Amino acid sequence: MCTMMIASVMAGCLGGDDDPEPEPEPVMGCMDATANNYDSTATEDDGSCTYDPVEVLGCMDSAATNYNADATTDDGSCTYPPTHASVMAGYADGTHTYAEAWAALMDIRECKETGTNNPCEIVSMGYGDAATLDPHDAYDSASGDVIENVYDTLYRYEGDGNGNAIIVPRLATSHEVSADMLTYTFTLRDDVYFSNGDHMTAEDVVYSWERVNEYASPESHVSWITEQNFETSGLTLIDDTHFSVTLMQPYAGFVSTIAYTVGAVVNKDMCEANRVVVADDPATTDVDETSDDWCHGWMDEAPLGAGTGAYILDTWSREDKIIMTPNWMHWDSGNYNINKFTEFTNVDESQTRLLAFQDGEADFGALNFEDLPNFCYIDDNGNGMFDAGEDAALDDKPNIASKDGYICTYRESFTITLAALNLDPNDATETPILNYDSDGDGTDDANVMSVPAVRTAIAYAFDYDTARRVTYDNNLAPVYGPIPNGFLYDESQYEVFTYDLTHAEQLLEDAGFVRQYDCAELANNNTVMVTDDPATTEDETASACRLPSILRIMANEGNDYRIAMAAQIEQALGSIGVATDGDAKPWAEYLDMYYTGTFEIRFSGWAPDYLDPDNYWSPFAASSEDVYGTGYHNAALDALLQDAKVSTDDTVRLDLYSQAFDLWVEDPNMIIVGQGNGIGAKHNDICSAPWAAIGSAHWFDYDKLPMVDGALVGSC
Amino acid sequence: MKLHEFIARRVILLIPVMIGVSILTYSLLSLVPGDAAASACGDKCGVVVDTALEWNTTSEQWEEVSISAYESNVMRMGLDENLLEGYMVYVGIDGPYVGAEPLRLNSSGYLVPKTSLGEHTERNGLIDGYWGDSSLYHRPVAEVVKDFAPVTLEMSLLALLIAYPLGIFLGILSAVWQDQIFDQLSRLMAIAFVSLPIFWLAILFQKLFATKIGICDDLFGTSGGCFPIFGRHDPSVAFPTGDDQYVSWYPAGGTGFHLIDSWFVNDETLSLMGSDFDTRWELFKDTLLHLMLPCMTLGIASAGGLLRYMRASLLEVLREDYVRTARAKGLSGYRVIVVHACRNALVPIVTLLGFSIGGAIGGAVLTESIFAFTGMGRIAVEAIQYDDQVVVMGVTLITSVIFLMSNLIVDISYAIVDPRVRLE
Repeated sequence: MCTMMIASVMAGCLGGDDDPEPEPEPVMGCMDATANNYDSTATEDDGSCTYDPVEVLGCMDSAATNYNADATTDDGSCTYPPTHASVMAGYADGTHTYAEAWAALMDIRECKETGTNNPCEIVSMGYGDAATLDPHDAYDSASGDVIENVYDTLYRYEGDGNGNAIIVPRLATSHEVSADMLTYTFTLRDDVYFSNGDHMTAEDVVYSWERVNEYASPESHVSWITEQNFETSGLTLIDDTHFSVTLMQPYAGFVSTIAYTVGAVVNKDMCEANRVVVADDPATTDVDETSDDWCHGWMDEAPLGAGTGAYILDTWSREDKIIMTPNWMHWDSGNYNINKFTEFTNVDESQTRLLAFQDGEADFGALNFEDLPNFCYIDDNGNGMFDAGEDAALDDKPNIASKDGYICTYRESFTITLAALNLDPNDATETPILNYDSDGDGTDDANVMSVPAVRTAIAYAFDYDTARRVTYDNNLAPVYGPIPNGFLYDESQYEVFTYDLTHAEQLLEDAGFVRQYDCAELANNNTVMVTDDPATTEDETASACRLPSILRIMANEGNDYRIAMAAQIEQALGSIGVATDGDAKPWAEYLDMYYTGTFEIRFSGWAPDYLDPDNYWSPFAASSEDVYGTGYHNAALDALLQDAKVSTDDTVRLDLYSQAFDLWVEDPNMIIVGQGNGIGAKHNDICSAPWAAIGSAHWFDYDKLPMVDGALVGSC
Repeated sequence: MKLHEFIARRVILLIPVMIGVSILTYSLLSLVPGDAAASACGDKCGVVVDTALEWNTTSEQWEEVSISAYESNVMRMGLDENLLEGYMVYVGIDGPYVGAEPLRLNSSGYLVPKTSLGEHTERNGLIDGYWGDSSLYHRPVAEVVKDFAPVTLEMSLLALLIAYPLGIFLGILSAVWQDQIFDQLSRLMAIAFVSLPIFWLAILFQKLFATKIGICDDLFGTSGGCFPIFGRHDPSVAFPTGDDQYVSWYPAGGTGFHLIDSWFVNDETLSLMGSDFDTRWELFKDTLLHLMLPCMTLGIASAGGLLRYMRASLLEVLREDYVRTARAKGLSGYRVIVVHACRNALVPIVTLLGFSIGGAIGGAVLTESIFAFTGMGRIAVEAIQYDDQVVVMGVTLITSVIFLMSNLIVDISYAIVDPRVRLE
């Protein structure tokens, strides 16, 4: 202590001044000599040091499994979870075996959602089983519904979201057409594999189309769709991704025809391995034992490897159910929302379908129209919610609304309801009924139905509006010619025929079909007798018949719509002096009468095979096809239809179909009643692909929202 | 006559009966208006599907002709045969054609006489076990019948297993308590079950026992009812159909009777099937649950009639002297009724069994349709609608066999039930 005191005193003495010296100002700066901005004069570090960045090597891609947030330099070490593309690339180069690739793809692509509503499964109910799953002998919609999911075509039909059907590329990426419109050269995808792992090439496509023509669909006859266009010799393989086909004549609808399931691509190697060929036995000289099933026996149940589609057939319990599960090797990008699709094929009873749909045992069911008010209504007061009574009638279909838990949508189909008019009817013994002298030589050489005025009069005697609105309960939309609304060139048609009995009667009168035949004799004895008896002063002609025969009007039993329409036109024709005999026949007998030509008017329908107007006009009115057996022959119309068939210029085709329509309305061979429409109802957890009036649902494009804690997660 | 002689004689008698049935059915079907060829192509019969060369007898040249879908079907189905020839072809008996021989397309595109294709001389028929090919189901008829007959039989037999005990038991109680409240109620129920349309009963059962709005969810805490609304199985269930899928001694591919098949599925097969049903018991349970509603519908409808028969029969027996004697001997009421009266009262009920099997198979048509079971009834109706005559023939023949065999069993069982009947 003493020492400190002495030192202090001495220090004060030695200083010689009483004021203390000011302390030096601190110099702020970076005092770290390793920093880029080191300040050697700094006396106090202000934290401003900056350094050269230190390089941290690592994976800088956040999508990688080994992403390093601190890395400053990507060292190329990123590893990624396997993807559809990477696994398929690995399979293609031999890194993965088929089993490894299949398992890896399943892990990547399968739906993994959970919920109380089985969000990865769809159950549907129908009332008709598939005939076969061989796409080259299938011609029914139940078969097509499966085939479109198991096999692929080069192009296919899809909805555009606005109710129209369009053709989109699938296995083909593009095609070129030669200048003469005869040769189509297709370019194919190179990343397509069959479900058994076989690589699909152009050779498979060429083989498939050869198979269609050579096997010739003995049961269904569907091969006419391709056979009308090309012969097997017209197919040329170019390389793995290219081939060409030369048509017998230009056909504007060619691409559309091969978008139908008959154009599906099958596995050549598998088919050849399972093909059963029986050669002629040389030991027998008078018997030809040759047969070739073109692997139909194998293809019939679409085994693994048959197709490249998004699904494979898991189970086909005939007349019971069809189950499809994913083809994990399917080439289309994206993952599966639906891991399992089950179709109960034979739920015939509509009440059962309704109960199962309401109770949630099934997601889809072919519901009857009268059951739809359980799910749909018309928002008459526009308040956006269901009020009592708004489901009493669903007439205003385009403005359909959905009750809670369901989605109801308006749809127009491409099916046409019509009545074919037979120009050459036969009697019960299949002998032509000749009761009209067409050339004026005094001998009856034709039937009155061959007279255009008679058929035109019949077309004016049909009550279109009542049929569409009342008979069909608004399930038919107006259509004025063979081409349905929403189809190519529908603008070529306009309304001509209306319900006008006065005009109809005048047409008959002007054509010389005056009232002169005794209707009772016609009806009771099928005898033609002129009724005006000169012995009496009474004029019997007022109630006499105009035609010397009874027009037989056919509908099939069980189709109340057709029966009602037949009754209407029967009554209408009777009122203008045309004797008729309406009858509903069992389906088989109805078809038999159609084929034997023992009818004058037959109510029927048409669903298109492919998306081209020629698929309506030619079967309806071309004398070369005449699918309805009307005996119709109009040379000028034939020429126009032929030109329209081969032209690929849109403007020209529109003009040709317009001319054809103008000719046809002067000489009609059928009554075009209307175009089908309706309402589709589904649970609100189902997200559908856009509706297409042609083709089937593609389940790969569907989604089902999971129901968790009583609420749906997400939205369509 | 010894029992085995009796059985042998009845089995031999089956042969002329079956021939008679086949002739009658074939003839009747040929009289039914309609055309299978037209049914097969529908609105598109007129589509030209092929061309061929046909010999023109006038010009004496081969001329190209178009073949429509209809004509192609006629040739494929052999519908241009006359009735006699058609039947002979169906049965498989060789014989010369009477009149013009039908033409067929050979592999070179010529229309030639059918016999030149070898079909006529090498054909198979019913006597070879070939029942024809179904145009509707696109398979041999024998396969169709083999697949679907067990469905109907399983349902019908289970329905009878419900109907007989129920009908007999209630009938006995009704007779014992004659004219009391139970008797009146059970008679009322019997009349109701017999009178109510089977489809109505089926839909009622569906709503009551198989939906969320039914009674099961409230009573038993189920979700969506006690039973499925329709179908033979849950969507996840698939019974194996190939070889070696069952235990070694069991028929390959199973019998089609799924209640039985479910117990004999090979364990390995079950584990590989990838369904949610990985034990035999679960398979059996699923099958039984799906069968319950259709069988209850069929069974209860039959039980009403049986109740009435049993009641009437037992009342008659109870008035017999030997019953009075038994009572006088001091036997208990239970012993008198069960041992002495019931056995004799059962004789007419046993007689009914043969008819009941036929009735149950007939009733199965509607039941199968409502519950989406595809059995013989449903395929027969569909085959009639679409003119698939060989299927109708096949179903008729197999139903006849079942009916005759069941009556044979009934006759044999008389010997067991009725002490007065002795075959030896």
